[in-house]
Amino acid sequence: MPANKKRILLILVFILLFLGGIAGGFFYFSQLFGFKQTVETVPQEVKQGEDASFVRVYYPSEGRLIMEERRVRRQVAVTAIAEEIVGEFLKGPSNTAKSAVPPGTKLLGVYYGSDGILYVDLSDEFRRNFQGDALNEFLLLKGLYDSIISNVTGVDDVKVIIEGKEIESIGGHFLALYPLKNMLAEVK
Amino acid sequence: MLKLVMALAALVILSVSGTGHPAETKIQTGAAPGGPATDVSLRFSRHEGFSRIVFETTDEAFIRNSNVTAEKNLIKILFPTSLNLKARGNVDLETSLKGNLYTITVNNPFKIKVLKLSSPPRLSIDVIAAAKEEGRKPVTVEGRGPDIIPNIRVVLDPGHGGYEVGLVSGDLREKDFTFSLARSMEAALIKKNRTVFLTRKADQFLSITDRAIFANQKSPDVFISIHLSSANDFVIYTPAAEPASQDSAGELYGLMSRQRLYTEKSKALAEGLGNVLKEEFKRDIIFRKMELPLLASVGAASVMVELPIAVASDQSSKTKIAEILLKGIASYAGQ
Repeated sequence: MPANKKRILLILVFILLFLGGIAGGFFYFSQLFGFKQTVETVPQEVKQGEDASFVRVYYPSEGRLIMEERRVRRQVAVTAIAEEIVGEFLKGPSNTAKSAVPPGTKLLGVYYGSDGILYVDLSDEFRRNFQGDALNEFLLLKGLYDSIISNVTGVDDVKVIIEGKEIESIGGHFLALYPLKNMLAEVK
Repeated sequence: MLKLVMALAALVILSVSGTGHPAETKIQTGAAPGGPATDVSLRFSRHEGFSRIVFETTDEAFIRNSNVTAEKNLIKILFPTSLNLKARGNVDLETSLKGNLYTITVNNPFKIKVLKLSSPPRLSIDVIAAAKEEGRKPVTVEGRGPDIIPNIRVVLDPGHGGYEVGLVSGDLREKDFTFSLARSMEAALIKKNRTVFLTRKADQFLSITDRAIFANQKSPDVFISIHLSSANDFVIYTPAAEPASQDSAGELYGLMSRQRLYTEKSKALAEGLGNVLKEEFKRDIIFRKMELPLLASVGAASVMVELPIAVASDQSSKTKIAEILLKGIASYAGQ
């Protein structure tokens, strides 16, 4: 084989290895940091024998928050844990006939920003089917916030988006344009 | 920290009263003329037996160094600097402004009562008709009605609207009831030649931000957002005094600094409304302090009133609620 052809072949192999490395690296890091991970449905029930953990979920109910322990699949990534928790939150409390969580709401995605804010993307039912006064809206948002913050380490704040977009308010009393922490100051 | 500042501010409040007739009564000294013009807003209101003139600014020292004197038929107010005076509504007295001297001419015998207040810094002068002063009774809730609401500016905010329906109970929709109630209150106030504005004039969606902007453009003395509650009792919300934290998100969320100067007024308005509602409906009133963005953004005495949906469902209750809320406003404004 002439020396020129050998050299061209080597260069081609090198380029292919380089491109493969970039693609592999991108895939690895995107999985590691959980950018734009989405789920299609509410997490499935934990099956017998599956590795599971218990989480505390806070539900709005009759003018207060009630806490329930729920068994979910054990997860490692921040977004995966958050998905399990939000999925449980949207199911509503088990012991109350009427859930204060807007019915029909689906989890569309969870994104974790480098600023420590967890973005929870919910379907429009969360806004459209909300029925309540200022306290109900406060408790709905606080329940979601507390459920995430008390179970997921590394999350500083939570922001709700609807169908991938920012909206001004869920129920007309509080702003949803900003992360929830400051808004959920203690009620006196 | 805020509580400490408020406590200190309360100590700064100076209360001095004097007789303006016939000898000159010097209220305070120490004015230093000169300096740039200060922006001052002027409010005038007429009450039973007295008129109140309030000069409001953001400069504590400006108010502290103002002198008020009464001489014959003149009240002289000497400010430390010249001022840009912005009057809200009509001043129903003969007045003039030359440089840093503001004079009020009063044709009948009178006494004055001067208060220097903080949060926000303001100088309040009550011109009391001397002959009637002895018989003047303190303002009480009993017997008050829309006809004796002082000449204040009121902004009413009917909650929800458009696609945002709010609470629903049978045929009753929150957005319709709040609008109808606000209209009734507006009509009663207009009938008495009072200044009133509604944030929305139809069944339309209006964002929280747009409501706040509208309200602030109208420079109201009183702002009431009307909603319904799923609770059995009346709930009156007042804005929290400050955002929960001072980080950037907190500041961003708190569009909001406007209300910080009016928290005491908001509390007084809530109490005024709560007292009349409790008395008339014999129901408990829940007072709740909350970081509601709309209330926090309005530069006036601001509350959100939630009426029990059970009360609102009674068709005959609307007129009664309107009258009672107006009584509550009168009770607050007469303080």
